[in-house]
Amino acid sequence: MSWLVGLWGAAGLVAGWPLWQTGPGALLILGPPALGWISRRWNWPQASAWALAWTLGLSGWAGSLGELGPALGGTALALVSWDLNLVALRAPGLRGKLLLLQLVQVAGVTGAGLVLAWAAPRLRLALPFWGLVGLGCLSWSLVLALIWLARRDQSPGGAASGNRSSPTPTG
Amino acid sequence: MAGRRKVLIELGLVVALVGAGQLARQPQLLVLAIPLLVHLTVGLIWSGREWRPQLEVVRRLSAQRLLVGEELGVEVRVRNRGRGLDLVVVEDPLPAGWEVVDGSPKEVGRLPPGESLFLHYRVRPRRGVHQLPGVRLRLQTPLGFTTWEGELACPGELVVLPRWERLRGLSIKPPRTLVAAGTARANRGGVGTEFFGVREYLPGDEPRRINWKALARWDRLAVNLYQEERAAEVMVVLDVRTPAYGHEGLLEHAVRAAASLVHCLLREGHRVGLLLYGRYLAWQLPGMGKKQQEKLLRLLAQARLGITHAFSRLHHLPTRFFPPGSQIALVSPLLPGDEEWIGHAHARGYAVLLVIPDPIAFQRELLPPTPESELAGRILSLERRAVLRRLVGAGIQVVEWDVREPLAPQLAAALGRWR
Repeated sequence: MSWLVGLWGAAGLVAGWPLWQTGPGALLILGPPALGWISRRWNWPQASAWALAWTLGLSGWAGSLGELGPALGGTALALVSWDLNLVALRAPGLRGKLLLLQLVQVAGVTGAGLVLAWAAPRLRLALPFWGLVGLGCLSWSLVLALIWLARRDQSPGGAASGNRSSPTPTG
Repeated sequence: MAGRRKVLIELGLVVALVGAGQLARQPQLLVLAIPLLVHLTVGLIWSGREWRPQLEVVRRLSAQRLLVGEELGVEVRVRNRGRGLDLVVVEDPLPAGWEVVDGSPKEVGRLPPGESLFLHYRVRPRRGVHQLPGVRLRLQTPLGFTTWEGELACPGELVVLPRWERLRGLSIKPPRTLVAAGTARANRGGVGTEFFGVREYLPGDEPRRINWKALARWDRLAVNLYQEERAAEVMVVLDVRTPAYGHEGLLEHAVRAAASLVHCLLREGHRVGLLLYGRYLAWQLPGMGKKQQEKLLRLLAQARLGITHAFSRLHHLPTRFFPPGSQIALVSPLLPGDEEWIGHAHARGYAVLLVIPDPIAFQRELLPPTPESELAGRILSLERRAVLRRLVGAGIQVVEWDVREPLAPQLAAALGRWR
């Protein structure tokens, strides 16, 4: 539990690094670890969603101040913390190899996102107006497709067989 | 958090960042949305289009019938017949009161296609007839955008019977007996072990039964008669009224006493039935043999404390369950006023054997040894002793059982005084 709170703390600290000099505003970096702790302590996944939103808010603030590095770092750490937090709530006994595998998965995906985010501002594309409209439509259709995928049926379809105990009377 | 909600939250955050970036004319916020968007897209691609977990669950028990205190080995196998699962949490929910001795009824792992996940554990189940619940599963695909949580039915029954003691010297003497041979002393002369009387010799009588002393005294041939030993109908009544016990632990002793009586009486060839009296009425009419013993033990396994107004006093015990002139073996800690019904039953021609698991001695063990509790215990003991003395005076066989000690010697000692 403490490592997860530590991870949320790191996310808050990195994302809120530019706020460090603002005095009382620096207290905002305590929000993500506090919410992460609440989420684990009371088994409350909603608190981890609030912690993610809080960290993204801090990252957005840092980004608007022109500190893109800490902002992206904070976002990446928040995504890793959010995923691991949900996994830890779903499987409280998770540790060892299995936990490492989850960490590698989410770190890999987040790393790919970071690389793309780092590369995006360096891309120079000249798009005509209708090209921009087409890209907008494509983005929205992608969003709608994602929503449809998220809402699809998730019924179990599992099969179970009965108890096949061997009748061995005792006593 | 369900996978769908996770998708919506991430999507909402992406839209919020993009919207805020557009409104504030801050392209950095758009850049921040990129890792989130990548995370969301990869997660949804991994979760697949038509994801339905295809799982087979099999639960194996080392036995289906146990005695209280024995251990049960459980093996649960979850086999994946569909696509790979990144995270699987398998939990076999145990009925209340089961004690895990070894292993764990919960396991977390991955389930590649075609592979199985096993749970191995040993438990000590409590008394009862248990319908085993389904196996609980929580699954998710990588990044957790598709999750499933539910229970796969895995029906099974486990019977945990009460233990019994081997009782000796349990002599019953009901007014009416059956034709079959048994150990209940009938009120008639015949073949047996206990002396009953003397009658005049008739041709055909065995010479070894001739009473030579009577011949010397009366100068006539007479033969000894012995009390005939026959089977009887016995109804064991287990009191399961909550106020009579005070603590559930005492019920376990009462159930053990009833099981011991059932076992002993059936072994001696009697027709034995059982009635549970408390929150409900549950009964098994008299019968004999091993099947009857199994039925009675199964009924005892299900005995639970409870109370309803209708059965709050023994006066509402339905006597139609007791054949006229039969033996009633009542196992109860007794409540004030119960002695009246016992006296009436005796007066109506039933032979009553009363086994009382002593609630005062039992409660004394649980309470701290203060002068107040000692005094209260002594007062209650005196009151109870006065009631029991009246019952003994009326001709009822009373066995007061200190549950800290085995029942068999206490029963033998108490009934020995009756012979």
